[in-house]
Amino acid sequence: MSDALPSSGERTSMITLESVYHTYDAQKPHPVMALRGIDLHIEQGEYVVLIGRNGSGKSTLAKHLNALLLPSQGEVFIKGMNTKDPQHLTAIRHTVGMVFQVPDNQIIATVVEEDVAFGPENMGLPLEELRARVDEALTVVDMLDHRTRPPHMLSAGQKQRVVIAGAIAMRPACLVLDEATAMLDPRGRRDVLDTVQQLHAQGVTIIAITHFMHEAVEGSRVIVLDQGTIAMDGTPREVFSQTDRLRQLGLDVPPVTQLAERIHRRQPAFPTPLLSVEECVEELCRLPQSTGVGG
Amino acid sequence: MTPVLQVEELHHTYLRGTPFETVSLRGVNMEVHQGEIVSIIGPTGSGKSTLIQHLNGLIRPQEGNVFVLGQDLRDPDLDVKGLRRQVGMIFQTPEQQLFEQYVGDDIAFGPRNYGLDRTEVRQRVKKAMGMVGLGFEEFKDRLTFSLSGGEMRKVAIAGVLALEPRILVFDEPTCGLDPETSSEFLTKIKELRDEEEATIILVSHDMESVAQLADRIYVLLQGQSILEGTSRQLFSQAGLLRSYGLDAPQVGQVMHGLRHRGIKVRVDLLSVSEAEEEIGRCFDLSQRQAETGA
Repeated sequence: MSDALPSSGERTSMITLESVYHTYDAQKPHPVMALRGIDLHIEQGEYVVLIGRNGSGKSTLAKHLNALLLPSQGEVFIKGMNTKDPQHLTAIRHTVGMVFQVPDNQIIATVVEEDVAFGPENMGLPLEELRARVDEALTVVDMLDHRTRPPHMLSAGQKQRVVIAGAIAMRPACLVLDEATAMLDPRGRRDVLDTVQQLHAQGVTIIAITHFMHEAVEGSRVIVLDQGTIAMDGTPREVFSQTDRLRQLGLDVPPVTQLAERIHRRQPAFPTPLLSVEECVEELCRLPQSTGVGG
Repeated sequence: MTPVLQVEELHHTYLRGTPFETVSLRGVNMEVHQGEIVSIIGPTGSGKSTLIQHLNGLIRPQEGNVFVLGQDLRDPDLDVKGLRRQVGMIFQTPEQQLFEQYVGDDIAFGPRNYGLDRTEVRQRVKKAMGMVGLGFEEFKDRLTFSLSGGEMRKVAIAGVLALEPRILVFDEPTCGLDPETSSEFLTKIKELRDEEEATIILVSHDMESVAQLADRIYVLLQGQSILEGTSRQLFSQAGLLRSYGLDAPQVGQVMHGLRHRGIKVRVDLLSVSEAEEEIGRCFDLSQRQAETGA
């Protein structure tokens, strides 16, 4: 994936949205304005987490990133390619891989490894390269042992890992995950998040949509959508220090952040916001213990 | 009191007798009483979905017994239709079950099919929509397929609630819902138990929801029920849960982390408030520290 790595210090544009509007059912009696003027710039190598209440436009935005949807108004550029230009379509789809919430809708083959091979096969790769990519992708998601099984016999979590393997096998420069962990068990979630971190470390740009606030803290940037506009945009620490604002937007802070905030209210020297369990334990251990407790 | 739901030594194999045979359940035991909220947790592939499909007769027992509201699910003459009115199933991604053009019609489909009169149907639809937080006037004439994913989910759930079943089985009910909707929804589930005396079975991977709701928990692992206990008992065993691919809720993880560092805190805590109280008991949070610290 070396071609996805930006050279040191240089910032390359991955995604640019210029006042993007999207309206569903524009000609019908109940048009729905899903996006209302989004201006957004994402550099290569960023790990952006999109959060927002149901219906805020997250998935609509995600679908603009590989031309599954085109703006009703405004422009979307992927590595400088306008998504409205049909001649860029293939290149855009090779650049941006998508993983959706429901794996069943994305699985097409009757054998796991054939499903993973489908995308790269269509790119016309030689057999050896294809074999190598499929095996590598299945190893990353820890599904190599299941490669000859029929996907419909797998659990939801296992299927999702197959879908992610299919996307990784295309070696996209950017991976969009639309609630990809929603159906997984805690370990499955951890595995997918670790896989995503690993891809990010290799230079892949990540755009992840989630309703799990404790997952949102893993990104390098958090964008909050509300009624089709960008309501907040900052580092996880900046965004998750505004509990009241987040709650107004139908969101919340992770339980551990709430706990730290409450302790901070009683003891102002206690730092806030804290974003992870480890951080919270670390900070609590600095507090003096009450007499008679501890040991 | 007889349990409303009883599962004894249940086994199930998919595609039995073919080369693709997959054993899903290999000995599940479970007992649920009227008005309980019982959660089933387990790693993906542990058999949770297979188990709950037995509860309204979508799958019949191959080996072992299932009794639901006094009915034997092995009985070939079982009144399956009657059973399905009493046991409401809300599967993962229920929005895939929507088919009517308008929201109101989709929710009314079940009650209409049971021959209820117009006024009763309307009342039930209104009540069910209220339960999931969809305004009746605002949403009843909206096009089903122009809704967002989360809104579709609410419509699908309202469709099941409108049947007013005695046992409600939720498979990942908050998956895909935003934090506000999700927490409202968990409150509603609790109300269904507290006010309508419904029995609730909750299958979830979200340990925060389980900790917030469940009276008791069953842990499934590789098709077997291996652990049973109150939420407090189970979540105090974070290490064990983690070895099964599960975990404790975040505040529990913090308490376990402290215990690991030699601080004798309680680890069986389920909410932020409980954790705050315990930390207040174990640590000196007086303002004086702040001044010397600053």
